[in-house]
Order: sequence, then structure tokens, then C-alpha cells
Amino acid sequence: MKMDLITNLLGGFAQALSPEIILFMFAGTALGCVIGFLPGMGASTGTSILLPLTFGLHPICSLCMLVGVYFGTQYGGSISAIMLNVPGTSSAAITCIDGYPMFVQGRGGKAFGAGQFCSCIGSVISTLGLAIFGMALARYALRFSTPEYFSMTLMGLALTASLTGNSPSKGFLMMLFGMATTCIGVDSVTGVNRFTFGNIYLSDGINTVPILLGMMGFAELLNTASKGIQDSFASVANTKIRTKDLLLDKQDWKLCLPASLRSSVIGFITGALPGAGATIAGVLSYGVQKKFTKSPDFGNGAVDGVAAAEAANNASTGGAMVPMLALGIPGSPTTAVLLTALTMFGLRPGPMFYTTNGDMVWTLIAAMLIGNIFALIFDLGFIPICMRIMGKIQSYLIPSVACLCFLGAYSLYTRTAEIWIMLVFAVFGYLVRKFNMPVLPFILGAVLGDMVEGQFRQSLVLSGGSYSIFFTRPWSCAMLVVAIIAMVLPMIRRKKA
Amino acid sequence: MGNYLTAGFFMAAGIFMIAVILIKNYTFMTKYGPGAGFVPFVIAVCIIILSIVICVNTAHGSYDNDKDKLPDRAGAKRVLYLLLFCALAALALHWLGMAATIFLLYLFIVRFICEKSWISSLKAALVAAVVFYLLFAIGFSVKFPKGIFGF
Repeated sequence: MKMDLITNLLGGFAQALSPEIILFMFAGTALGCVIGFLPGMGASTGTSILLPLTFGLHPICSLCMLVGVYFGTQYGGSISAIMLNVPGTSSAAITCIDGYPMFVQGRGGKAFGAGQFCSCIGSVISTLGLAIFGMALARYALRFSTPEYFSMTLMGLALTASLTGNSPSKGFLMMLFGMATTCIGVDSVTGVNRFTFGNIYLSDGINTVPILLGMMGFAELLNTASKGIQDSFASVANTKIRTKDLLLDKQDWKLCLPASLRSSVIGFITGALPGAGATIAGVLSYGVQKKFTKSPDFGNGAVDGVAAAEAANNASTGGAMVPMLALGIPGSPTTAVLLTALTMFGLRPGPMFYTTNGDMVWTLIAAMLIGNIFALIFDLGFIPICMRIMGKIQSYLIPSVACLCFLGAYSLYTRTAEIWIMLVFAVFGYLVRKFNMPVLPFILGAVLGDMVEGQFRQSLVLSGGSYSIFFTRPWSCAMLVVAIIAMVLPMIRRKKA
Repeated sequence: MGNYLTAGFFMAAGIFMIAVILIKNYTFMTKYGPGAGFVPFVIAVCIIILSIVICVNTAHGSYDNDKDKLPDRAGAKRVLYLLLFCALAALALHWLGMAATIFLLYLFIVRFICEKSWISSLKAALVAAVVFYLLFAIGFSVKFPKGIFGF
């Protein structure tokens, strides 16, 4: 097993060190760092916008680029959090707590350095976790059949819906509405046209790409446009930070290293849980670090506070890849985009994925390790530069992203129908955000809805129509119980509160 | 108020789904298991129930921390402009072609939403049209309509 791991990883490195993969990994990482830095543009937004750009690439190049964007945004998200007290991604919000006071106190270089180096530690540990536990999980999951998959997918959806947003009922409502969108089109079992109303474009169903572009990319854009273009970055541009200011000294490492190691483990485990994600990982790790910290100014400019938050949110990226690759279940919106990318190339992640596409998995893991080093090096050079160019980029962010979404939606099937679908979902995404409805459960419902229905119906065909198949198989039953608890418990707790 | 509106929208969607299932006669059960109408029906019923739950919770003050964050007049105008420009661009794409459409879309967004001068907007739009054309039409070989300008 240990030898297998090393052999596979070395094989992955041999593939990943090809110039083509390195180029796309670097491009993705660099783009991710820039996207993550831009407020309002998270990993899910970045990957969904760039998804159409990768249509013409080789699957592994496409995946490496998107994964590069994924963790690149986590690196970049901390920059605007520390510099402007505006988290580039929601997961970087915890970084603001200690990072921004450090910047204001004139210790911005140390804050950036702690953020970047600890992000790298978190990402590397979680990628190794993916390498070690992903395969084990995949091997075990090979014993699963359609009832287990149905229960597991339902459990993931239930956990996501119950953990996101401020109300589980809103989460479940959004999840169900997302699933409802997958009912549109020809029913794969009976061949009946459902909810198409004679429209030929709807017969194939609604593709998830325009939904993702609309709900994430364009809806965020509408949100930014409604608030107005902030032009308050002049003071930031006047602050000079050089690359050598980002390096940490021995004292800083003494505080940061234990914090980042602890937070990496928490981040990896949290990331692997469907629906938990980088933000929850950051919150949990910051809470744990609060118990262990030796910094008197924790919460008001402590370097280990930045280290804990950043290591955790980066570690969650590797964790989130475990259920996506090994079980075919995305635990976050970004992994849902990655799953869409794989599906577009005719690949189906799941327990067999490690066997049938082992080369791809190990190349990806190796590329992730290489990409983390790229991200670190890129950001060490990028931070001083972006201090100066921030004001200029901000002005052209809205039109550039709007055009990317517009062209990306058209490129899918080279027809305008997808642009209209994207615009409809953009308006929907914008409005639901305004009314405090969580977007993540909708996205997961839209991505996994047809899978849940298919698994449910296939299971009943297997059992000859008996629902007992879901309860007589131990794993299926256990996961259904967890799903039911995830659905009921938050509602009871809320009622009691 | 926001919660009632949201719940009302979803409830209407659920009722609409059930009406379509009943009118179009999607089968609930076949001899091989659930039919085409089974899962959408269950989803629609759950949507209606949860919409009612949200209404009840709102009436009991459970969401008192939720604030509606609707934009001000200027913000709403920018949102509507952005949607309008994109909708017009979608309509004009076949007629004008990709490069000219992106040029105009970019120009109007920079001018009217980002509120830059006409000169800056024209320069930015020209650069953007060239970059996006090279990226999508040349780089990724996406087949765009040629339009009256032929590109």
C-alpha cells in the first residue's frame, strides 16, 4: 500500500512535469491568485467563468488549470482581506480579524507572509491527505451499489443544506429548487418530455454551465454593480511592500508552524465533509487556535491568527477533492464546477475513477503539489505589484467578467439560448442573495439532482419496487439516518433556540 | 416581507410543477418502479411544505435577523443597465458578429456602469474586443456568427 502510493505519486510527477501541464497549472494558479484577490470573485466564481475557456483543452490540462484556479483563489483571497479588510473570498473573512489590524499597525508584510507560507503548508498537507485517503476511500466505496450512492448523495445534499445559510428550511428549499431544474428535459428512463413545453432547446435539459455562470459569476457581478465601484484604494497604493518584507523570522515561525499544522488537519477533514467547506474550516481552526495561542494580541493583529485561518481554508481544498474524486460527490460549489468539467469530458468520478483513470488522478495530485509552490512564488512577487495596480483593475472588472460570462455561455453549444438561461439564473441568483437565501444548496441540487433521481429509480428497479432496499443494506441505512438527522436536528435546535 | 415574497415565489413554483404533472399526465408509477412524474411531484410537494414553514417561521419572528438588502435607486439602475446591455448584446450577436457585439457591450458597461469618459471607454472596449476575439474565436476556435462586418 505504502509502495503503491509512492509509485503512483512518482508516476504522477513524471506526467505532471510535462511542459504543457506545468504551463496550464501555472496559468490557473496565477489567474486564481488574481481572481481570489478581487473582492467578490471566489473560487467558485473563478472556476465557473474559466470553465468554458478549458473546453478545447486536454482533460488533464483543463482539470489542472481549474484546480490551480481553485487553490490560487484561496491564496489570493487573503491579500485583499489583509490589505483592504475586504475578503476576496468568503473563506478569507477570518483572515481579516488579525490580518487587517497587522496591516494597519505597519506589519502588513508579516501578515502577507504568514498568509502565503501557511497557505502553502495547508495545501501541501491536504494534497498529501488526498493522495493517502482518497484511494483508500475509493477502494472501500467500490463495495457500494446504487442504494448506497443514493443514500450518500442524499446525505451530502442534506448536510450541505443544513449547514449553509442561517436557516435549514431555506437551505432545503433552495436544494429542492435546484433539483427541480434537473427535472426539465427528456426523462432518461421513460423518454417522456418533462417541463419542456414543446421547446426544443429544453429537451436536453438545462446544462449546469450556464446555471453556474449565472448563479455565481454574473449574479456576483450584479451584486457588485448594485453596490457601486469602490474607488477607495488610493491609500493602499501609497503603501510600499517589498518581497523581502514578506519573509517570516524565527519568532514568527514559532507561532505560525504549530498553528498551521493543526489548522491543516482541521481544514482537510472539514473540507472533506460535504457542505462544510473553506469558510467553516477557517472558523473552526481559528476557534481552536484561540485555545492554543501564546499571542497576547490574538484577535487584534496576531500572526498565528492569520496562519490558522489561511492554513485551514487552503487545506479544505484538498479535503473537498476527496469525495469529489473518490465518490463523485462535490462537497462545495467549486468541486461541483470541477465535477461538471470532468463530466463534460465524458469522465465520471467515483470509486472506479482511481482504477480507470488512475494516471489522471495521480498526475492531478502531483500537479497540485507543484502548483502550490507556483502559487507561493507567484504571490510573493504579486503582492507588491498588486498594491499599485488594484485601483486600475477595479474599474474594468465588471465589463471584463460580464463579457467572459456572455461568451462562455455562448461557447457551450454556440447558440444564444445558453446566454438567456445564464441571464435568467443571474437575476435569480442576485435576488435570492438579496433575500438571504443560500446559493450553495441550489447549485449542489442542480448538479446532483438527476444523479439522485437516477440512483433512486435504479435502486427501486433492482428491488422490484420495494423501498426496503434502502434500509436493509447497512451503509445505505446508516447514511439515510445521518441524512434524516441532518434534516431534522437543525430545525429542532432552531425551534428550541 | 422579503421572506414572504421568497416563500410565495417558491410556493407558486411548486404549485405550477404539480399542475403541469397533472395536466400532462406524467406517470407516477410503472411496473419497473417510479415513473416520470414521481420525483418532480415529491420535490414540488416538499417545496410547497418548506415555503409554508418559512412563512410560519417569519410570522413567529424566527428570521428577525434577516435584513432585506435591496439596492438603492442608483444601484438598481446599474443592475438593470447591466442586464439590459447583455440582453441587447444577445439579440444583436447574430446581426453584428462577435467582435462588434463585445466592443459595444464593453463600451456601454464601462461608460454607463463604471462611469468612465467616452475616450477611456472606447479605448478599453477596443482592447477588450481584440483580446476576447483572439482568446475565444482564434485561441479556442469557437464558431461565432460573422455578422454584417464579417468577423
